[in-house]
Amino acid sequence: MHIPDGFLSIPVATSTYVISGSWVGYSIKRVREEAGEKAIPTMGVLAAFIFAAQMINFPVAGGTSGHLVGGTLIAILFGPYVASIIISTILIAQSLLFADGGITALGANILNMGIIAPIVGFVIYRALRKWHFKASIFIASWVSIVLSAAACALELSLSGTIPINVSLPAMVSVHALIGIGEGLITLFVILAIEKFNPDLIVNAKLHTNNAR
Amino acid sequence: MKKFIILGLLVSVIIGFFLSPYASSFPDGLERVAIKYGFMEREKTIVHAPFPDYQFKPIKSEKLATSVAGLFGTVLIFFTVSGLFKVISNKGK
Repeated sequence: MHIPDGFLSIPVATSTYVISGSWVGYSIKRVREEAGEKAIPTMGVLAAFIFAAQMINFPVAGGTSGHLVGGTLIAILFGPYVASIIISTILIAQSLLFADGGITALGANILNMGIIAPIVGFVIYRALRKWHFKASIFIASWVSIVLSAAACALELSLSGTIPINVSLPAMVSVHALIGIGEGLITLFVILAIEKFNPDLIVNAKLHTNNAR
Repeated sequence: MKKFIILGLLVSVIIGFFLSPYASSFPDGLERVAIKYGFMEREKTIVHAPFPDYQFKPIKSEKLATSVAGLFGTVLIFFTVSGLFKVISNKGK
């Protein structure tokens, strides 16, 4: 879902930059106030894992591929503010070093994958986790991808690149498939972490934690 | 906890180095839409990245070039994100 340069109009690029910059700045402020230093290496490892996993495109129907975004994964473990900071860092590195995502599109990419995805995933996970822990992880991850794809469609259409009645169904339908991958991978990773470091998951299951 | 960190890093490096050359090269969801509806050609390059398309260019083999780029990025992100959160939490003191 990394938007390259050239797809977005200047007003859309600028306004998404402003929104993303403000939110990431706010996230840093929130994390600063609630910092738990012990978790820092874990956050580093999680970020490294997500960067690596984002390189592993998996095929979905019709000669298309998808890849993990990981916003919901981080948000479940550490809340949406930490997720925004980590995903933004990854997106910046990807854009500047690997030309994955445009530099003018960075604001929009951060908004979609680093803000909307983690917040949506976090809210849905929190709402559903007492009902069914595993299902809540899958559903939260899936919806986070579909909604961030919808946001992407909206940005493209507001830019005049493609009409909304075309972009929205096109983006949502393909990402409904990709979201299945996101849901499965996120669930798998959470369950794997539960085996090796249950404390992290206990926090995720019970805490009304710092991300409030 | 330390074992978990090392294991996690190992898994990440294995993915970034060994698996990355075998990732699907099909266009992703957005690219697929862009191709189908004819706006893919609007794509342009503004900043020249050192390793575009995850290719560590000095290396001739495409697969190895991808592996090295993946390893580099994975390790870089680990230190950058850890360092960033250290700075953030220090400033909170």
